[in-house]
Amino acid sequence: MNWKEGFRRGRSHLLMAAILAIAGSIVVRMEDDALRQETGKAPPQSITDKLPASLK
Amino acid sequence: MDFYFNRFEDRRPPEPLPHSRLIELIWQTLALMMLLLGARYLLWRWTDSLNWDALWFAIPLVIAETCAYFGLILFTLNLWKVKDYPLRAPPARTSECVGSAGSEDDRPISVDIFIATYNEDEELVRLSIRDAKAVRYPHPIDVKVHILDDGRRDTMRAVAEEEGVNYISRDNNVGFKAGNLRNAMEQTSGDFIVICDADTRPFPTMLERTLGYFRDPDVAFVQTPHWFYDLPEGERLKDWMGRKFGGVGSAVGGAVERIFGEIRIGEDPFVNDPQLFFDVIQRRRNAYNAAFCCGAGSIHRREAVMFVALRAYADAIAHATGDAKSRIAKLVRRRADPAAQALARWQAAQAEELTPYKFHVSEDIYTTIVLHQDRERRWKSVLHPHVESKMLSPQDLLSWSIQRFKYAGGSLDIFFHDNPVTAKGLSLGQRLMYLTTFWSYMGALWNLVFLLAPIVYLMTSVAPVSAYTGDFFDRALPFLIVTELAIMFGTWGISGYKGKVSYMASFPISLQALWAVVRKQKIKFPVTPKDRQDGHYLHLVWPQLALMIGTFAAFCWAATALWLGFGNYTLGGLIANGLWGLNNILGMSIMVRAALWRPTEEEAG
Repeated sequence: MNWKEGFRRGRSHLLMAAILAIAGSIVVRMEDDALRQETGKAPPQSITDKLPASLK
Repeated sequence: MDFYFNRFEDRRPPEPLPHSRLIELIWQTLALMMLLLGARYLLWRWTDSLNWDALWFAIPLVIAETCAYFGLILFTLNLWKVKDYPLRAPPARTSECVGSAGSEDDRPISVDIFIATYNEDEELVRLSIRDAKAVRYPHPIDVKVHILDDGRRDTMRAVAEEEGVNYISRDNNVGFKAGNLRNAMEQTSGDFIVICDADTRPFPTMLERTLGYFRDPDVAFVQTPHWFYDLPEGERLKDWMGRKFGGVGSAVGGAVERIFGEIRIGEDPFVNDPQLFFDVIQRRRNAYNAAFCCGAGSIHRREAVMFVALRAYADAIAHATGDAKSRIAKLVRRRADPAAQALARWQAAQAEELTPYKFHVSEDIYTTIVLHQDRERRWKSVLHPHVESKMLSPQDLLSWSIQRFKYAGGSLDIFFHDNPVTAKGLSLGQRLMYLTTFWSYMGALWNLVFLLAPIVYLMTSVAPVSAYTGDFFDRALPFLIVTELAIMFGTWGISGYKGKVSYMASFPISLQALWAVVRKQKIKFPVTPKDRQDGHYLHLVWPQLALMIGTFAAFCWAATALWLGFGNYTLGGLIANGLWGLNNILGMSIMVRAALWRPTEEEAG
């Protein structure tokens, strides 16, 4: 089976992955903006941002 | 005779999925990533994400996620690799199939083809008889076709006589199909037995491509994939849209198909296509010697079937002796007398019957478990990847529901009352594969939580996680996206969406079966109708309809509340749960559409 046909048959997975990636990014941006407005500071971007400065 | 499926006679089955080492490596790499990311996500869920203000909601959801993740581990093990048994030349004589120890009785192989029937149309069975008679073999062997008629019909006997095949019946229906097969075994003597249902129509190649496996004297049975040749093919999107909306619709439909590939409306409305089950799930259990028998389309070594019978007989006698021993011990308060035990064994031997197939709704799985359990003989089960027969699919939601309920109830009944996962004799791989089957039916419990979770948030603004912020998506999204990609490569060549949503949407049947088994109700044996039943079946899908309506109503409520500014709703939470709810609605809608499905005039013939 060639790659094109394989991807065609698996398109529902590709579509779902794309929706998750796009919708997830949008929701994260919205929620982080809302949090910033509430608290007045930027939310942590990653786990390392949460660590004390001495451990970074 | 004019059957609806006459027009599908020319259809040919798909070839087995080709095995590609590259695709398998990609799948295995992605699968490992998926499990690692899943473990990371779940660890965070349990330790750092729970909404402590709403544990009533957070705890059930995280437990459901954990159960689903465990199922994902089992599914990954199941799909890990393809390891087909090598096809071998068809044997001619018994000495080629029994190993060195039992080659004294050397003669041409004999095969009995059993066609079990109860109330199916005699002309439908005639088609199966004719195809069974047309089975070819490269050597002169003895092949006999037998009609096993539990309906005791003179008309069926007449058809058997007209076709020149043997007619077998009995004066009762004890044990239903298993009893029917036992009765036929007592009256026949072939070295191998082919089990067919009334609508199973073997291809001419069935024996020449499967008997070669029995050159290995440890092979007990070979299961061939089921293939439903009557599945509705549906209509191309561009044609469907053209019919509904004219030239513009056709152009839009054509454009969508150019981007996403061919899309068919109304194709396989009941998601009956068993290719995922046979060509992926069962086939990859060959690696663990854990493929199980599914009844129709299977070829059995008579010696193995009789082995199962003797084992069950011996177990029943031993059990009876144990019972007697405990009764006697209670009465006399001392060690049971050996003579009393011998008497109990003798009495049990008189009372018990030799039963090749256990009288159970899932007699085929039971038979496989008993074979796999034997540590001395080490029987093997083979899933042959090529389709060797054609069958009819359930043609309406009632027939479909009966069939699924039997599968679910039978499997769960074994899990709760004769659990092979903890029984002696099985290898670790076999235990895990049986657990995979049972866990998939238990999945209805956590699927229900996943279906209700967005409704709870949308109605109450209570989130199961502390917040829908980057922390959550950092962990959830990589896991979910890699899972989609991994499953795509793990089932490469098969469209997985319908299978996934059908599994999700059939939760009421599995829950019903689970409830029946927990209450120790007997799973009944209704024969799956082979012809189309009239009517619509919305009453069968009320749970799915209720969930669809509930999710939509909850979304409208949450959107209004967010707009008016009451509750703790956030736009991000609304979008995330709205999309989750939309995914659930689309999944449920498959079953609702199936309940309303009617064949087109062309499909109805």
